[in-house]
Amino acid sequence: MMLIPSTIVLACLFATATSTAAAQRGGGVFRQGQPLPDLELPTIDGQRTINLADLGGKKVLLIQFASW
Amino acid sequence: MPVWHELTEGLRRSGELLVIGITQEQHPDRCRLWAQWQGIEWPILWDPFNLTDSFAVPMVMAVDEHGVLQSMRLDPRRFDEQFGDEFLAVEFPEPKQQPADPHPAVREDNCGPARLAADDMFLTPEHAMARFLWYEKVHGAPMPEKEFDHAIRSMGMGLDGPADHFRLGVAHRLRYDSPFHHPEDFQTSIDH
Repeated sequence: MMLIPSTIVLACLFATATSTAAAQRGGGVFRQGQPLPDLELPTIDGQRTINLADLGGKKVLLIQFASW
Repeated sequence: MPVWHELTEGLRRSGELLVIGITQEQHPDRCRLWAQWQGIEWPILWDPFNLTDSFAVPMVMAVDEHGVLQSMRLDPRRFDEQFGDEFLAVEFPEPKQQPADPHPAVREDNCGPARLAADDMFLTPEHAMARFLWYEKVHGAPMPEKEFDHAIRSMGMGLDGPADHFRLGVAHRLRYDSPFHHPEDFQTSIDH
């Protein structure tokens, strides 16, 4: 049986823990269980702005993405 | 991401669900064309300076009717169970805490006339970003050349890490797209 070097095991554990922690931490200013931040941004067409903290009243699907 | 667009189209059109996108790109035009191509009509917010501190995309999140983030990294393969039963069908309690302002300096009121005068010599990166985002809205006119140059000079000072470099690249791209572009702005925006 091949022994896996301990450094590789530790690196994998660290990566797993980091990604898990990151997932729990969420996308930067977004925190699971917390209100959306008071952050206003313009729309891509430049026609208006939306403050994330004002998104109340109905359920929201919020998607952070890149078009590339 | 288009899969979420398809899965939620009926809910969005019925008014039961609001769909909002956030994209972090140097320039909004590419995303605008992509959204047009995909037939996306819901609003997409432009976050060129990564104020949302995004570290991985896509990030698909469910926000309840009180504005509380209930679920992150939704799986479209579990749409009925995860999104339908565990989110849409649930009435969530009101939150106890208020939303936090993660970037208080990157606001409209930090590029008004008083701020412009006060920042004559010292411009923080946050105030520079506020100018790029809000100047035209606040002043009713495009940002003048001296403000572009001042903001870019300020953002180029004390660069500390990839995020600062990316933001400086965005600033150069925004000036490149303005009437005051410098010939080297496009390449500089890529280099950062």
